[in-house]
Amino acid sequence: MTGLRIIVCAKQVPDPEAPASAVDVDPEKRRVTVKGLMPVINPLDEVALEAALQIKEKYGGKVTVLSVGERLSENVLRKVLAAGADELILVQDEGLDDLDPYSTALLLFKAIEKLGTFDLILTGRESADWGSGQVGLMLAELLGIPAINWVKRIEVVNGAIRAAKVVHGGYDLVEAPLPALLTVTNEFGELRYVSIMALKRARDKPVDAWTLSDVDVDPSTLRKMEVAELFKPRFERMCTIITGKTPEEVGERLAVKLVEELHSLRGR
Amino acid sequence: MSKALVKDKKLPREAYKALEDIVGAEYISEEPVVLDSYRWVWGNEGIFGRRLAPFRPLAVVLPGSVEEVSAIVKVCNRFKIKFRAFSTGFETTALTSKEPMLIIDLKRMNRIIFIDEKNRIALVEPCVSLAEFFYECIKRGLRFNVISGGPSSSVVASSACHMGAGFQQVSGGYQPQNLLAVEWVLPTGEVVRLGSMATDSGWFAPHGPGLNLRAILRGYSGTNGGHGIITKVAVRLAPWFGPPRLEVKGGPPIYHIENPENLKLYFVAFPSLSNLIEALRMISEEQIAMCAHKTPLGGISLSMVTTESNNEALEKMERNKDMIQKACYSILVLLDAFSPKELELKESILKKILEETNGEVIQLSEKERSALLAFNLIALGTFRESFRPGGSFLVAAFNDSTIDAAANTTLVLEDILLRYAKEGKIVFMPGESWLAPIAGGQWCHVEQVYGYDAADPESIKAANEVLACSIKTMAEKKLGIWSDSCLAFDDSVNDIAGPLCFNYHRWIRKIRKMLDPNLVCEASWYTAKDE
Amino acid sequence: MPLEDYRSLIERCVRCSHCKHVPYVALARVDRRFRPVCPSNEKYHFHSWSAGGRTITSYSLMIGELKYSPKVIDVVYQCLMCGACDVSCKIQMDLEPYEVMLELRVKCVEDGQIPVEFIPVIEGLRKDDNMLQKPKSERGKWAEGLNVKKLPEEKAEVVFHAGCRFSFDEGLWSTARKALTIIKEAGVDVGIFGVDEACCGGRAYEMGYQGELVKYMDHNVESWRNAGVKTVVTPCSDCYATFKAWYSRFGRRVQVMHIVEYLERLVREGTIKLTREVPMKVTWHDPCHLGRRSEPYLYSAPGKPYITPEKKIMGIVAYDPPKPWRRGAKGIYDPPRNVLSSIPGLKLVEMHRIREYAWCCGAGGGVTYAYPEFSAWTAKERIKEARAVGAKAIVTACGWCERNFRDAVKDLVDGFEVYDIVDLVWEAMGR
Repeated sequence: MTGLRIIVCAKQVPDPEAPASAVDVDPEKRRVTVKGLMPVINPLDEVALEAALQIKEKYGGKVTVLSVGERLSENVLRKVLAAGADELILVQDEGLDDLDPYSTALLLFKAIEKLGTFDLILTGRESADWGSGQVGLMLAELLGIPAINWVKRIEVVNGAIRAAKVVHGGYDLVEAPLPALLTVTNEFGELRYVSIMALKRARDKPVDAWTLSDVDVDPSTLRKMEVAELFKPRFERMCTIITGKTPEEVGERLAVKLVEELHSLRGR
Repeated sequence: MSKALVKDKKLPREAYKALEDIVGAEYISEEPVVLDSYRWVWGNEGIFGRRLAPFRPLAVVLPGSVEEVSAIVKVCNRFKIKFRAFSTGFETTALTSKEPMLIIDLKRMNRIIFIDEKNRIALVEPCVSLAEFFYECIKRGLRFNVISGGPSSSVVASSACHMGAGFQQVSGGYQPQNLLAVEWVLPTGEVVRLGSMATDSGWFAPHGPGLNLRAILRGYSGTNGGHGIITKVAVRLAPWFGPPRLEVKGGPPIYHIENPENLKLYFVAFPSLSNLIEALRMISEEQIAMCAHKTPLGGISLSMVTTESNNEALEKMERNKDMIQKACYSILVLLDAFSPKELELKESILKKILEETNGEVIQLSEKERSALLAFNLIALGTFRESFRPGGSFLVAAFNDSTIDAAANTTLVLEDILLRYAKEGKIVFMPGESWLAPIAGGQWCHVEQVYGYDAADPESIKAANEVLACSIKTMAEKKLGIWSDSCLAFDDSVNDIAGPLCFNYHRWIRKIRKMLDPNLVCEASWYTAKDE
Repeated sequence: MPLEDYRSLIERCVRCSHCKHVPYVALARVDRRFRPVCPSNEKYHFHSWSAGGRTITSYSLMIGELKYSPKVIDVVYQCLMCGACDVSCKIQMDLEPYEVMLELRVKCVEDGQIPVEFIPVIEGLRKDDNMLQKPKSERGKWAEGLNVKKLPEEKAEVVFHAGCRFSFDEGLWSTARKALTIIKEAGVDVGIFGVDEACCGGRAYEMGYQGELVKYMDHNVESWRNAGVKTVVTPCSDCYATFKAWYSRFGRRVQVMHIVEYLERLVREGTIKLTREVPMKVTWHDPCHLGRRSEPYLYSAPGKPYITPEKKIMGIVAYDPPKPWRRGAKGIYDPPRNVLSSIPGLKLVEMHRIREYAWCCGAGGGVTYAYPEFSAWTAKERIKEARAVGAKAIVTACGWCERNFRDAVKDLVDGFEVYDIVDLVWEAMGR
């Protein structure tokens, strides 16, 4: 075996670390915009890339990063090349914003078909923006390959994958034949440090840019995610002074009041 | 109205390589982001409906010497590439074309080669601005007209390539007549030196063989790139009686300028246009003033030029309604004199003239005086009164004629302008027109300026309608020769004006064909038609 | 304020190129060879490298005719954001070229279109709250042993905010220490946040990271309030302009003084006496952020846009309510000159490009990270100008300027010095 062909699916998301004051939530348009901050690679997808790079270091192979979206930033995504990925492929076209998980999975599936053979597909556990956690598993379904989610440790043993899958209070060791798809959890560890020199070198590496027609997808088959409601959580502060003749009385009334409030909150 | 971007047209690779070999890779570009900044210019919105022309130039090249310019032009001939050079220029005539062209940005050619104090001659390159030239000249007791295009306008463009009327022309003469010799890269790439330069005997030749080619070189209001590239001009300088250096204090936007000892500024209002004309005529005849001209916007000029913003100008107009009304017909006079005694004499003459013409001197505050002094000396503030009110401006009546004819010209279009102004689509008020007598007052330049908003399609539409109407009216009333470049956005006006003026349009087209056999000079703002 | 809100102001740019030069009236006192005021245009020649050019770039991007490319990023970011263009433009026009360039950068950041060199800088900022990619734990080391109140554990009326440059650039520590000592010994109730000090956010903002500015603004203003701080004093011009101008742009008013203003007051009141001769011929470099960029926004409020609505009267474009324009006239220009002229034996000679039309030192706008050669070139041009007027040293009051100048004069064989005004005052105090 000359090494594993690994594909990492990475999504570009608005910066999840953005301070509240930079985030603008538009309930009418049901859109979140982040003012004055760069989009980033979904941090959980970065974890998947780290996993891929470690596997490559251990078993040899090639790491391809695949991203789909409407307005992808090469500058943001080139970081994967600086970190050590061998290849970056962008599927970029009009109307690819806010796709539903199935449509995203379909696009990835078509792009992977075009890419040809592979041994392993890694994705993050979920995305930092909508967090549905569905794309990876749907993609495996479309590809007809086994999938293991919430993976925190990976080994390749005799052409099969052995993964530690996080479960409540511990982990399961799961084995699957290759090719397979894994979704990786943050327990795996952060993406390695990327130096400025590596970023500069990555600037000159070629990036493949595909459109919908390149991956043979009819735009009318893609569906947008429907957001039913979007609003900023409201914080309300109410102050009630509890009075009483004796401290004991005040204490008793406070307890009663707290229980009442709790009930009314549950009732909401 | 507004047009979409058409697909970029590129230079043949071989041509690009040839140009790159001439100037070096650093000084040529065909990057869209670079080209975009050369398809945006004042006036584009009138032609294309927006500031960005609907196509990008082929490339931009920045030569550093006449040899490079000549080599570039030869490449253009070899590959039949249309080109136009520009210097500091910011108007349509400098940058807009009918089709993608090669832009030759002369930014790097910005040397003042010499100022000959004794013989009052200077030799300069295209990217020397009038204001910096002015400051260099006054150090030596000389000056050169700064045109109304403002301090950034080019010495070369104003004297040899485009029209150039200014506030100092009552004493400094008409700009093209200050031209003594040129270095001219013909449309074929051949370098020609006119005037005494032809015999290598310096840069001086007021008349005689060679320089009476002036009409061919420059036409009436400039060939605007239609006849190759002027890479050097020698110009005649006038005496300057002020100090070698203006004392400037304070900060932006209106700096304080100490009043030079031998200069004195007057802002004078008249009860009627006829009084004003009489006064201008007399001031010109007496040759007492360095500057004398009717303020372009009447009393509003005072508000616009001397204020820091439109809001402040509007407040001032509201506050001084009576004064604005009174200054509807007003002139600016800047007296200059060799000595305090001469200044005294000139002042007494001016006083006498104003008595006879019912002129009333309006007292100026210190800030107003500073602003108006800068306005007259380096044309600083022409933007404040032309561009700032609406965002952009155009000229309705535009003419050079006798003082009387020029004055009459302003009245013909006033009704049309006022009608549009009443709807708030253009900025115009009664009495608005700039009258600037030229050398001795035998003739006079007139421009009827109106503002419009380049960010408002309605306003742009109105501005265009006014322009079309102006051309029609000027032709119907036979109001003399007028300039193609300032009155219309293309060659069409030549076809209207030509038959009224000795069929000049046919002559210039023939001359153009002769000078430019491959028709490589982009001549939309001269005469693009082939006769 | 998205770029789109500036559309009409963009469309009214007439491409006059005044933004490239010293204001034309002021040119009367400037030698012709120092006429250019825009380092970007001087270095890169084409019109795109100017405020007017970037105005066009933003328009073309906005209407979708221009697509991002590495050259677009160069055009946007090969600019020091020094704001000289803004001063020259607004001599005659009611436009906002600086605001447009700033919003263009914010847009580029939001679209992920930045020089890659910014990535580690911003990551460092987020992790360690400074712009020098130094560990947060080392902040405050500059003040070790100074015996000064430590906020927020203690309370003080005045906080001395050293800023990232003075905190982490060891070569500049002594300046910060002297400045703090002078204030403390003048009897001022002053303290420092030390290791708990955070970046002002200004440099990140000028690179387009508005989100970072807002974050640090909220944090700093809150911290100062909690520590009972009434006045912020800083030796850094970048921080000064950020607190005074940028914070006010987002509706936060901060009582802030640059150390130069403080020194001027102390000298004037006689609290410090400048007695020792400092026989030197120096010139003063006006830091952009102490001068033209430090003017506060007088009419902004939290959540309210910077641009007030347009209103046309007789076709004339005006603003309702009237907008107080920022034109660079109200910067801190005289205090440093007053301080320098009170130093005995010191001769101050002026350069050509001074005050609101000063040539930038080259350290602004993120250029030091992405285009260091441009940054160095700009500094060298300034040193040339200083030498042209016969100065033997350049004095300034900004750590970023000083670092850039010090690096620029390193190779000069015949020696040329760079000083912070604090160093000279200290010297003149006989310390």
